[in-house]
This record gives sequence, C-alpha cells and structure tokens, in this order.
Amino acid sequence: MNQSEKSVCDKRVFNELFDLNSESLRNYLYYQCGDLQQAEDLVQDAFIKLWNNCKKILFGKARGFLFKVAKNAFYNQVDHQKVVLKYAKQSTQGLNTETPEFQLEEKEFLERLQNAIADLPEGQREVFLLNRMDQMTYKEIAGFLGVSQKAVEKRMHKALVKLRKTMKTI
Amino acid sequence: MFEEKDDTIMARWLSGELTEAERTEFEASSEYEEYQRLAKGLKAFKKPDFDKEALRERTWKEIENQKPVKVIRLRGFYYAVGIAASILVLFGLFFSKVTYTTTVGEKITVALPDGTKVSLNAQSKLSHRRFFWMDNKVVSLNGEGFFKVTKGEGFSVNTESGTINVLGTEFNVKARPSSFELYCYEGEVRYENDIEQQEAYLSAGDAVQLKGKILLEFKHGDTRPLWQNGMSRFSNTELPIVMKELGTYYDISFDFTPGMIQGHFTGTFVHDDLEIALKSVFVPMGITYELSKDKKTVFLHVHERQ
Repeated sequence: MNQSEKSVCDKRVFNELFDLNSESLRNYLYYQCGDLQQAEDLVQDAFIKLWNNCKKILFGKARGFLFKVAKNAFYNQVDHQKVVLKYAKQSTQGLNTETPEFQLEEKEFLERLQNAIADLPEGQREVFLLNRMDQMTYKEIAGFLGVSQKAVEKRMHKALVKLRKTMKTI
Repeated sequence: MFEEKDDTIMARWLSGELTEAERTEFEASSEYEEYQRLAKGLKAFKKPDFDKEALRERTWKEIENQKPVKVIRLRGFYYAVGIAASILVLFGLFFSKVTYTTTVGEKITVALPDGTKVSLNAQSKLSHRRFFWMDNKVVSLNGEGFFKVTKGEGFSVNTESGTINVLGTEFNVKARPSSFELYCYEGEVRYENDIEQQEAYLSAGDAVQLKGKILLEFKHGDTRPLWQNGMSRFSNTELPIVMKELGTYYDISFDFTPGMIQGHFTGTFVHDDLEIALKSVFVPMGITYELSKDKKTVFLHVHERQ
C-alpha cells in the first residue's frame, strides 16, 4: 500500500504510528521537562488528538503533527520549569575499568557530565539528547522540530562546546 | 581554537562528517583530549526506560472513553440549531400572527390596531399579522364575526369562501364550513370569490348567502346581527345546518337514525338556554327529543306519519 494512502483512522495504521513515534516523542518531551510521567501523559494526549483528527491527517504528516501537538501542549503546561535529568544514574555499566580509583573517578565524571547536560539551555539539550540518546540524525531532528538542519547543527555545536567548557572548569 | 573554526564544526565532528584535513587538524588541537573524554563518557548514558505497550494500552483506553467524533459532530449540530433558531426568531418577529379564538358558546369582542372592532361569535377564529399590519390590513376569519371597520384605506377579510373588501362600514360575516353569509349594516362592502368567479357589491340592508355554489342576494331589515342579541335566526334552512349551529352555542351532540332527520326550519333559537333552544327548534318540526342527564347528548325520535 502506498504510504500516503494509509488511513490514520485504521487501527493497525494507528498502532504502527504508535510503534514508530511514541518512544522518541516521549523522550523528546522528557528531555524538555525531566518528568517521565508528565512526558507520557503528553504523548498520550498527542495520540488521542491524532486519533480524533485522523480523517484530516495524512500518514506521512502524522509524525510532524504529533510533535507539534506535544510541543504546544508542553508549552501550555503551567509547571514548565527547569528540571533535573535523572537518567544518568541508571547507566555506569558497560565501562571496562581498571582500578577502583579509576572507577570512582569515572563515576564522578559521569555525574558531573549529567549535571552539565541538565544545565544546557532547553533548545540545545533537546537536540543533543535526541541525537545522542535516540540516535536521531540532525536531519531527522530538524524535521521533528520544524527547523533547518543547519540550526540543529548549530545547537549541537554549541551544546558540545558548552559541555567541554563546563567539564573543564569544574 | 579548532572549535571556533565555524559554528557547526563540533556537530559535524560528532556525527563523523569532518573532512580528512579537518580531522587531522582537530586531533592536533588542544581541546582534542577533552572532547574524546566527553564522547566516551556520553556512551555510558542510556535513554530512559520506556514501556510502550503500557502506554499504548492507556492511550487506547482513553480514546475509547471519550467518543471524540460525536463531540465534534454535536458542536456542528449545535451551530446549525443556533442558526435555525435565530432564523425562526426573525421569521417569528416578521411573520408571527395574532389569533383570537372562541369555543362553543363563547363570544368576544376585539379591537384591531386601526380601531376596527370585531365581535366574534362562538367557535370562530380571527387572525392577522402581528407586525406591519397597518400597511396591509388583512384579517382571516373562520367562523362568524361582526365588523365595525374604522374609516380608512383598504381593509379586507379573507375567508375560505371569498374575500370581503371594505371602506369604513359595519357588516357581519359568517364563514363556516357549512355556510357563508354576509350582511351589510352600514357603508359598502365588496364580496369576491376568485375561484367561483363571484362578485357582489353590498350596501346597508343588503345581504348575500351561499347556497351550495349559488350566491343568493337579498335584503334584510336589521341594524345588527341577531347573534349579537343572543339569538340565531333561520329561514327555510335545512335541519342538519340548524343542528350544527346549535352545536356552536351548546356543547352537545345528537343521537339519531341517519336519514330520518329531514326538513327545513324557519325560526329562531336562543344562545343562553339549551332547553328553550331545543324546544324552539324541534317542537315545530314535530321531532321529539330527550336530553341526557349530563346535558351533552340529545336523542331524537321522529313520529311515524299517519
């Protein structure tokens, strides 16, 4: 079936869209607000809106629609505030370490790094994490956020420079 | 410094898009070590757990609970209802009617906006437009009414049996399903019936009556209709019509063998006493009658003629 002929109102198509988009959408929102529960609620709301408007939205436009809706909903929320990212605590495994001293040092480094990421300006943080955590290309992120790829690369560049400087000065 | 070469170069480094020359230059730069450490550290991070199926289930549950399509359609429906209601109100304002009705035995007198007085006999209905009536003074009559029309241009009465056009005058119209009569008491009226192609000019003392489809013209000597004095008068009128007329003033029904009741009645009956009215109609006709206890039914018996 041609992609553009798929009806979003078809439950299977809708589930397919859920498979494709729910996680990156949730993470995108999470990188902004730092609250998993809030992020998932917003994802749910976005998909409900998609279903309610399924006749008007083409399959190919669904992803853009979801992100726009989620983004707007997020900005409409009153408790929009700077949040602390907690994800780093889950993940020091996989590091092949030589000595306990090195291990400790490494752990400390990662903690500082996660704090530095949390302190990034919102625009840089969401781009940085979508690229690093969700393996989205700059082009995909640009499509996602509705900005140019160049703009995404600029934010990414700024985020990297800022992270390096932060890590050095501490 | 290398990172200041342009405003996207670090982004391109991270995605492996640097040219060979750029990479060589970067590896020789002072910040190379720091970026290497950073990149290595980043690999340790893991994206947050995500239970897709749980969220999917929750989402579907919400969708099924909300009945969204209906809500959208209802909103449109309410708009339509609102518009329709507004139009109705406007129509109501411009085309609403004033209606006066009388029931069995009831008589009322009403004044129209131009000062015309109409006395409505029992079981009659008079209506006219509520707004802008003075521009086109037309009333509709179903039943019997005595009109005292204020002098002025154009006043007409529409009935099922034709239209009466008047300049200031007094006249009585009886337009019931079984009979049509027009009596003129003052001034002049014109009667016309487009369907039957009939027309008559009446001056004071003139009267017309429809007998079937024939228009009878005759003279009368009254100054006001008799029903205004609480009486009905008949001249050689078929008995069923007289009985129907009795039903206009009294809430009664007749019980008789069809075909047995025949004859023509000449005379009067009063409107305010059922017993006397029945006596004055049926005794001269040689018909015996019985009134039920609740005074609603009249049983008629015809004497065998010897």
